[in-house]
Amino acid sequence: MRNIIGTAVSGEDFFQRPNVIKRIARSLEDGNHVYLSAPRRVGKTSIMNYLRENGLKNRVFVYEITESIGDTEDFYKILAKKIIESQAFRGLDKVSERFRKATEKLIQHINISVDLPFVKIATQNTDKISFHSEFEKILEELELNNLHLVIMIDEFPKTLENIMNRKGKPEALQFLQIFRDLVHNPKIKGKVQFLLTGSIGLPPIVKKLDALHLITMLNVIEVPPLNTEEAGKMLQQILDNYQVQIQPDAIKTILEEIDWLIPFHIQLAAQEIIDVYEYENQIIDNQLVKRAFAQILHHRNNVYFEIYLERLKKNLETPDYKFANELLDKIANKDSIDKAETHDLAVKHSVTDTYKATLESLVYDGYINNHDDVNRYRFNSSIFKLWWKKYVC
Amino acid sequence: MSVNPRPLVANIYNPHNQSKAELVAGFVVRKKFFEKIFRDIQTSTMQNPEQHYIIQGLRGMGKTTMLLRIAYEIENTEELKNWLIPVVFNEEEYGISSLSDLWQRVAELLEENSTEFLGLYDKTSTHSKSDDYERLALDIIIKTLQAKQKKIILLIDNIGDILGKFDERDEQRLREVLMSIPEIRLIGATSIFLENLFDYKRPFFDFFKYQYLEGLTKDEALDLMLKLGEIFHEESIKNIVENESHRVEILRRLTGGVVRTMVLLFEIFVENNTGSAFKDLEILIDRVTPLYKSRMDDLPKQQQKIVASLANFWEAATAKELADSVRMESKVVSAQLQQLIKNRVVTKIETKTKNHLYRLEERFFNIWYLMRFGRKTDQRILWLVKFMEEFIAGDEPFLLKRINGHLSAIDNATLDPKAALYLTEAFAQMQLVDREMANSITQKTRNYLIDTAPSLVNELSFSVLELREKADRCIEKDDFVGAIECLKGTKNKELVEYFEIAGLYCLVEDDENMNLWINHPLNEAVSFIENLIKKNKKVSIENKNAKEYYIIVDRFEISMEDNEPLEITITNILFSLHQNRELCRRLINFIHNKARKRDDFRRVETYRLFTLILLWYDEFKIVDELIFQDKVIKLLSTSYKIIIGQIIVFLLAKKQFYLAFQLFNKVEIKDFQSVYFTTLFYLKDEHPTEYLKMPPEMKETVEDLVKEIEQMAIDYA
Repeated sequence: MRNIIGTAVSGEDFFQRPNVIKRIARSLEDGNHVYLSAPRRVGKTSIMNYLRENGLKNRVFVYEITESIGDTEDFYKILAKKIIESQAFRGLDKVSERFRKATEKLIQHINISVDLPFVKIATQNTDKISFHSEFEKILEELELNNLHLVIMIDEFPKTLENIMNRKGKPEALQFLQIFRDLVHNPKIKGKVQFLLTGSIGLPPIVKKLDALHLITMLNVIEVPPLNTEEAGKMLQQILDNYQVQIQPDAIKTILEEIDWLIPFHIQLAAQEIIDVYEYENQIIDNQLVKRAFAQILHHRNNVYFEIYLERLKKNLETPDYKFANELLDKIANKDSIDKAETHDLAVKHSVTDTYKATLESLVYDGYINNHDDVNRYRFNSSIFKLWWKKYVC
Repeated sequence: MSVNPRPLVANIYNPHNQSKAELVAGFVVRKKFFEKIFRDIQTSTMQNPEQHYIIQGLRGMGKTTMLLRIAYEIENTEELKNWLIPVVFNEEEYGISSLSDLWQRVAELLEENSTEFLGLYDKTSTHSKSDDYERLALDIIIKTLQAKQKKIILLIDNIGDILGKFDERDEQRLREVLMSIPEIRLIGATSIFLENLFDYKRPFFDFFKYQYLEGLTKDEALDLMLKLGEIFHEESIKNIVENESHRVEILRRLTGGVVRTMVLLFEIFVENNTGSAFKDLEILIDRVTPLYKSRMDDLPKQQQKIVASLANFWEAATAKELADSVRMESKVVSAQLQQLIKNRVVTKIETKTKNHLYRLEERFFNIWYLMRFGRKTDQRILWLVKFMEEFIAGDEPFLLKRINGHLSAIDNATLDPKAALYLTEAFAQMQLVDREMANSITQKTRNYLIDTAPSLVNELSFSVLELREKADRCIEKDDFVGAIECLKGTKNKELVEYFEIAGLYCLVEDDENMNLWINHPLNEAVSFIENLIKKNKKVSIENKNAKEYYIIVDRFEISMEDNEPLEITITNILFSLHQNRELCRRLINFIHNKARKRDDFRRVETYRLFTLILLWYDEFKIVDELIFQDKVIKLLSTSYKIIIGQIIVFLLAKKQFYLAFQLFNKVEIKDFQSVYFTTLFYLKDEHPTEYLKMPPEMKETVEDLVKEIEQMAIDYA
């Protein structure tokens, strides 16, 4: 397994996560639309890549990333293009007249050169059309011989945020409403399902629109970090690929140091371990692990962590930001913080009305958790904690 | 002598100018780095989106070369070249300011690269009026690639400059493309100095894998120099690398291992004939000026002042020194320094005390600053003086050889006038170059400039002897103010010159300046010793006045040939003789004559003190590498044996038994029998036979020395 950092992985570079895949499969089989939820860098897109490549029983998948989209019509235009170009579409033999017309219309307005036996297009058409209605029509008429089409949309929350920022809240609300109506359309039920995810959380954005009721149709599946056994396996597979020799004890130490075993942190640690190994050319032991971890916190890796600080600045109002900043400073210095103290801190920053929402988003976005003791918050990641201590405190 | 008409640095600066074969042949360092990335390329099938990279490093670290090397290797690899096309962007791509521009450029480069893409650029351009142009253009490129079963790898230099111009939508879209379209892979390169355009905080950037080009290691630096010597048939380089490799190491440390700066400085030093390295330097400086200037302008005002001050220091400075220089509070300076460190403008050198040292991280930026903003030539080439002093490391014959080369190039009229000016200024300022020699180089250069570049004549500083002669003439004419100006212009002032100037101020009845010039060297000495006292808890600082007096006397005693506290006496005399001009003049003449003599003893004393103080601070590595150089030790062991003995005793007190033992390889053991056997006393387990050779009459001396050493170990813990 290659050590791919930052970019989502696929093929043999994907570390198998049968438990998560099983949960997704079960939920889809139950007829749900799914929202994959996890903080950044837990591996959501890689899971989608796996599904796209390997499929599931009775299901075909198409994948589209809509990070740059900031307009409802553009969103459906892109999805329509993806569906029309997909393998599933090309295999269709019998189609309804309504389906054929909708497809032709879409093709006339989207620049696609596909060879579909049921479509005849003479010229480009410049009349305005509604991409979302035509898209809905083809989904309604789509016949896949008992197969289910799963449309995976990566960065869906980002699209919503883009629309909100570029066009305003009413249009963002309308986008959500249209999507909800589409999902609830009885004619596509049982044929088409959606699997959504994103590097930013959907609920916090929808909350800003005061529209949580519009996403209740999504079955949320949490993608957890790896457990120790999985993480050990993944690390070993990566290191094997680079012929890195390591003492079993050192693997244990690495995992303890990483603490929050998300694939990205394992890859980051692996990168430094590989570097140390190539430089020293000797079996990795605990001493060398120590050195590799010191290297993780070298400022050259700031690029991977600064974004967390930046997101707080960007997403929180100034007093809330100051509250979050001091809260994280305190946790970094004392390892954990009592719930009561968070309130005290909120009083200090005059954010008693909003601090709970801030805490919630810090938990949601993977900064902190209170899993072990509901009354105490601690950093999810020891590496991030050390980084915060070194560069922010 | 070089048979290659192009100077080395020109090639290093612009790898695009090298032929494919030249670049590949000269690629001797960073091999592991290259192989790592290339291995990934070689094993990737690009059936799915692959790992994208950004190569980072200071300017001149070899990023452009690395991108080209990758491109060439792809073209040279049979199993890759049939399906993978490297698309190499120019170092500057001013025409790209949006993602659609980028695709257009890709189409253009593909077309240039191979006839099979003929017409691609026009095909993409037909949609340029469409709202959807970016997507349409990319679609055309991808479909063309798919039809030809090809994939591309974009090698984009200075990617930060390009991405900095993209709006959020373009950036998001590029991420989408790189995440979902397997036909395109991207390897970018970017500098990390003052690159505020490259905003790492944007989510886009954390999905690349970053590979850092650090400074060259010791071995890499040697390999590089050897290879360059070989390629350019430079015997002088080969000689230095093979016989005096420590100089390459000094050069590496001075430049932080930045390839381009290393080669530039090295070339300036070794080249005798034409001085073309200075022309390259000018070109380099011209090219980076718009960038550096705009980055400087972007810095907040306080940071600008700090950066400017650090540039003028050249060497590392403490926060306090900086605060004094920029006239800001220390805490403000410290806060701003933190910011500058974070942005990689400044680097911190940790010391054992709280007073850490700071200097500009990129040495070439420092050179640029001095060359552009130095008011006079001597300020502009401060970096060159410092570099040469370190590089020569006290080796006078080596320096003389270089100076002779410089003088013959002037005689042969082959030397570029600007190179003549800069090098002469640098030589004349060096501590190791005595005043007569400096004078003779200066005069020769002045005559040369009169003939070849009259406009540069006034930029050449007067030598110390010239200034002193001028001062003499002024004094004869009772023009004391003129004399003061001349003497103030002298470089590397000797102690007596401070008093001479003070005396002249006394003559013009300027008490304030007189005191200033008297106190300047005294204050320097006092604060130097006071710092030592503060750091040594065992010495109490009660009874400060008495101690100061003692310290001053001690310090000056050892620095004077006749061991007489002359300056203290002079100071008092000058004060008391305020009304007696005639006597004052006689006194000045006396000091004046004294200053003309070279004072080797004083230099040796400085060496001794410096070494002992470094050892006191446990700076063993520095002492070993920089101070204990064979030639210096050899010189000392013949004329100043007592000093070597003292240093060895101190080493033993600091438990540096092996370091001390090694020194005996460089000296005649018979001259240092007592310290030699004392050293063996500590190493007798390892050298039992050698220790047993100690003559019986030596035993007592060794025992006394051991006692002394043990006491010293306590005193100087």
